[in-house]
Amino acid sequence: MILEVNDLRSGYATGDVLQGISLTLEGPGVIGVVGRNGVGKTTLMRTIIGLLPARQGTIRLRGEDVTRFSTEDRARSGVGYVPQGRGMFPNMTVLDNLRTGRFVGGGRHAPQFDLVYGYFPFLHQRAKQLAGTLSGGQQEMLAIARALIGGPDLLLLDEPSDGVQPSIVDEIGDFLTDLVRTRGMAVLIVEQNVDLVRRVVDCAHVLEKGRIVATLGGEEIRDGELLAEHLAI
Amino acid sequence: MSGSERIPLSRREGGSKVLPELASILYQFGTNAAFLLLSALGLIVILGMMNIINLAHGEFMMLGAYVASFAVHRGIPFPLAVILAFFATGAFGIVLERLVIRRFYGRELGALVTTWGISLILAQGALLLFGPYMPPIPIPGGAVSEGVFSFSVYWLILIGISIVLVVALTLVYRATPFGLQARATMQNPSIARSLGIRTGRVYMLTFGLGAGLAGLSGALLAPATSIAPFMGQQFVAPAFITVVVGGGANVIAGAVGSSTFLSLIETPVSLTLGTFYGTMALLVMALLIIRVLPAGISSLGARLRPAVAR
Ligand SMILES: Nc1ncnc2c1ncn2[C@@H]1O[C@H](COP(=O)(O)OP(=O)(O)OP(=O)(O)O)[C@@H](O)[C@H]1O
Ligand SMILES: [Mg+2]
Repeated sequence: MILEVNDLRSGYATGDVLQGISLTLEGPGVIGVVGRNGVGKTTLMRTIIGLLPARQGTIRLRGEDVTRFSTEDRARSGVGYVPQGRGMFPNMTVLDNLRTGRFVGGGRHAPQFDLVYGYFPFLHQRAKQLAGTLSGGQQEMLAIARALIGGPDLLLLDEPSDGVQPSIVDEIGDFLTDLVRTRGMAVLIVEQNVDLVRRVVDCAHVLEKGRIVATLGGEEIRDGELLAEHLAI
Repeated sequence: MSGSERIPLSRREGGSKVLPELASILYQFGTNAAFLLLSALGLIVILGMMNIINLAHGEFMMLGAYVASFAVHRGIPFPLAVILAFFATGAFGIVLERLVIRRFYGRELGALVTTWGISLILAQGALLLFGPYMPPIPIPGGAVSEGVFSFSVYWLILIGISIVLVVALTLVYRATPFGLQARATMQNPSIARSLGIRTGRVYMLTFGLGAGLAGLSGALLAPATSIAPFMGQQFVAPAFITVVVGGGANVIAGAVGSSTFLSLIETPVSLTLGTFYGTMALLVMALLIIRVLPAGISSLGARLRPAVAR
């Protein structure tokens, strides 16, 4: 069991957004969280990584209760977080952005530059460029590479397709599939892009008003109808 | 220095009195710039990296001067005393950060009032504990004279040390793991934390470094001033002016730019009209720059950079 979220509540001064979320990632694979704007998808991701405190419930990583851990310690115990909007350090170079990811997973081994340059060769060519000058899609890939370079065993991706051109969304989809197959990565992905969800996800939880109201398996996802319905505005 | 070295100059007598005159102007300029830079260094590290306006900056400098004075009068060589001042004040800064400052992150006004309180406690505490003044430190090094002009060897060394400090600081922030983590923390602390960077530790070390640098500068400037509980005040105004004129786009480069620029104005006015008018010119110039470039001299570089990248 890589990630186990149990009866999680959290939110802001205005009240609880998450009304008791439970989900698990048992091993390698991609679990999706889908839902309309403002249902609490980002709130869930921020609570798992610890940027928002859990008001109730527990979060376990590989069996260990990390609900009271600091964000730093969760990242160091192997969670790579790619926030919505990418969270670049825009005034730092591409290379320096990558270097900041080395503590994800604990920082015990050297950062895996070969791995991320293999997936995203432009990062190597543009190593000296300021991250803020990259296109949206390139920034997304840099954010993913930065979360990956230290060797996490769980990736949290918050809407990687947001503001990214379709060809690069496809590229990210292929990359995720490969990452799961060759590296045994576990991925929790928040996504509203039906194509990307259908492409990569094994199972998708549908979020509505801070609750999981449905869980779609492989067939239902590939069918697409149901998924589109849950995402329609 | 030795007589033999002066001979070539006197031989060229008449022909070039310009040379020592130029040297004298350069020297004045260098000392003015070094004074501004040394006064500002600790302040810019803490302000630039942590966004905390440290009103106890002058008292950190005073602490450094006190440590140096203690050490020198117990027989420790001055250079060692200066290094001791750096570590002692730095350690003091770290303790202060852990006990007090860290409770005020994200509350700039709170931090401002807190550091102000600390500055009062430190100055009054020094007065209570050690009396109104400390034994002075003699200026090391003597003087070199060229005709009517004389140069203090110590100030020449201080100019050199300022340059070394700026280069060293730049290297720390550009080329060390700590510098990388500090820059990431400065740009986006939440993202830094979500990547496993211990931002609390970064803040602690940054505050310690800023305090240590203030102490180092205080010790370095101690021989040129009287060492007393309220000595910090004389450095605070120049330090803040240098920082504000430098701006926040790149704090280190900004401070170098503003100390150079301000002394470029101050020096000729001081030399022709006297130091009072020199200081006036510096203040007027600072006001003008802040009016024209509200984000400081370093914003010029930031404005130019996208154009270069294109
Ligand atoms: N900092 C905040 N303070 C108060 N309320 C917030 C804050 N951030 C988000 N919210 C509210 O919490 C709810 C859930 O927000 P959240 O960002 O988790 O939604 P989301 O599902 O990620 O939406 P989107 O698809 O637009 O990214 C929304 O109603 C939002 O307005
Ligand atoms: Mg969101």
